[in-house]
Amino acid sequence: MPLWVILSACGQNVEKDQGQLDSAAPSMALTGRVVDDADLLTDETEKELTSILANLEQTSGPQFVIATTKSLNGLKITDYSLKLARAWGIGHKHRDDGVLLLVAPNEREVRIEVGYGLEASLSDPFCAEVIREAMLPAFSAGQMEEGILNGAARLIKKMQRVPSLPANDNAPEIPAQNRKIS
Amino acid sequence: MLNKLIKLLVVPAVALSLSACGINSVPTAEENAKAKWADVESTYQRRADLIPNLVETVKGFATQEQDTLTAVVEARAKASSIQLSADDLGDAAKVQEFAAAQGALSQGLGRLMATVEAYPELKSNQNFLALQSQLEGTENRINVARRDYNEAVREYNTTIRTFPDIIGAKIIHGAEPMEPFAATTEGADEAPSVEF
Repeated sequence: MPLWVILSACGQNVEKDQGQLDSAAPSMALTGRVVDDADLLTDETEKELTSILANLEQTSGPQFVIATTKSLNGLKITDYSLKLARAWGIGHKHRDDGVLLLVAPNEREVRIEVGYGLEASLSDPFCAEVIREAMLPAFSAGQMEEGILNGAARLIKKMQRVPSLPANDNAPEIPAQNRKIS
Repeated sequence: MLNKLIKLLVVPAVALSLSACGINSVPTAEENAKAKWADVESTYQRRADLIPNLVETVKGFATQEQDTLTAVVEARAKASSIQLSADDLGDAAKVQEFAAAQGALSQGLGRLMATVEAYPELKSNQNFLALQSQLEGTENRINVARRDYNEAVREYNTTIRTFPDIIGAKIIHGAEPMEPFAATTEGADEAPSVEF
């Protein structure tokens, strides 16, 4: 039986004014698209992930941030991740397309926080499945980096299939013969 | 000469005093709170929409739990029948009634999810897993919406009570305080916990 408690709801309204934050917001700084506070990833992995996530935003639209934290400071992971996502202002305001993958290894919890604009594609059941099938098995075996990469890959693939960029944005045009019915 | 000076100063003076006494800030704060209330309502509606499917799925596996299922269906009907319009948000009794009905539904759902523990086939069923994650997600959204609403109400109530906006609030808008949304039943705002 997996030792991890997973809380995997997706789809919060990440875009809110600063004034609506509760007090005691988490104090982690947004140092980049990958914030590895709990030191679960190698430097090389961080660099590679960062460029993949930058590319994702360019071509598909969403701002996807991956964060690990040494402590949830006594908060429930749902509260912590929402506060973090709001404090960091992840996602484009007009599209509400922010995604935060948060891993708290010391509390053994993981969460995927999704902006309302992505709720249809990164739905609650989809995110629950990603955590359950792509991440938990690796985490239970102590393979933290692998679990994170598996989960991120599943999420990125979905976001590439269902971009948040509208068709007339500067997304590269897919040649007709390469378009697939998804 | 003096007249000219006075005329020159009247417009800026009036503009300054208008902006300072709550003519705009009060309706702005009120509309914000009403918009946040709409979010609260829509998240509760999402939860209500999940329930028929959930009940059907559980019924297929847990035939002995008819009482628990019936209780949830009834609690849902009761909660759906109590509507709160934006104008009722100053009425403490009505807000309480709404909160209590939704709280009762939360409790019914909590009991239902607890009974599911005894049915391993149900717990691993794909359909059920999807519904469970949706329910959990929606409970979380409800809590967030309620917190945001309470914050908006706090801002509005503060605006209409503090100088100088209190001037416009009383004289021009006749503004009444709004009720924050409090959990009325013990543990009503605790989402049914999901452990794997």
